[in-house]
Amino acid sequence: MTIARQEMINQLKLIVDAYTENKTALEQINEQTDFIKDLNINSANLVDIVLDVEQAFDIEIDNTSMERMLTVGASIAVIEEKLAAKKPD
Amino acid sequence: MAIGIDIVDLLQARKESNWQRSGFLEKLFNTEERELIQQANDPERMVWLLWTMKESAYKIYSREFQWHAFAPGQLSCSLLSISSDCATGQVSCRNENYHTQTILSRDLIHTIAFSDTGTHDNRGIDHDGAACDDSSADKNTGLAKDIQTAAGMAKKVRVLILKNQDESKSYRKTKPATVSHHGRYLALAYL
Repeated sequence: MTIARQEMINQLKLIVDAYTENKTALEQINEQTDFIKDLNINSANLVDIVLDVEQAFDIEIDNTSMERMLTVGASIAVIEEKLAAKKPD
Repeated sequence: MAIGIDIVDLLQARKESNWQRSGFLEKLFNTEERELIQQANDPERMVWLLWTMKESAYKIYSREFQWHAFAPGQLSCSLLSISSDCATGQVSCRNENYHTQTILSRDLIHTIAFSDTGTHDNRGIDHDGAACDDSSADKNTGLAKDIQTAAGMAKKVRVLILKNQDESKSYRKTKPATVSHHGRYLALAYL
């Protein structure tokens, strides 16, 4: 795993912390972690995660990309895509 | 007949979510739905009414089509009737349509969605269905409700809403068709 990916997982972990009671599972967070199934996050809070991610990474997440954001790995993929699209070259 | 249920404990929702947060409504609701929220006497209740409609319909769709996504925009709600304590509506998800019946009380909002398939035609939910006859039920203690399904449906669906129940853990023994839990409330539906 690249340092950048691990750094993104750490940033997501900070965001997600506000929405999960399951701190044991949060400690084990990895790309396979499913927000609802593994972290018992309320589905209504997924939108907060998306909004927090938009703020933290200064990106805009369209509905089609948001659809995939059920896991840490899928969220990182979306963040990477949006960051890449932001770069001028 | 496929059903899906979703319950929101309004106290819990207030703790967990700030629906007035910038961007929140835009991500969850389309223009028409946001208009319903803006025009509502109680916008907070409308937010969670529409949310439980989407969630209950999504539960049927995702089961049936093995589709898992965070895609509130793919579910569109319309209301057929609404009063202080009940509402009926329709939710479309891609090519599927679902009917919904909602019970609203001071402390909770509960919606049951029905798939279109089955014995009844597409006339929709009987607006005067039993879901609207529950106003006399005790809203604050453990409450049991019988919800009648749409007119023309062969079966009745029984929905049980329990508050702060120790039995929560043993509910599986009662073989509910589907379950929804939020905050203090556990909802169980039996076919």
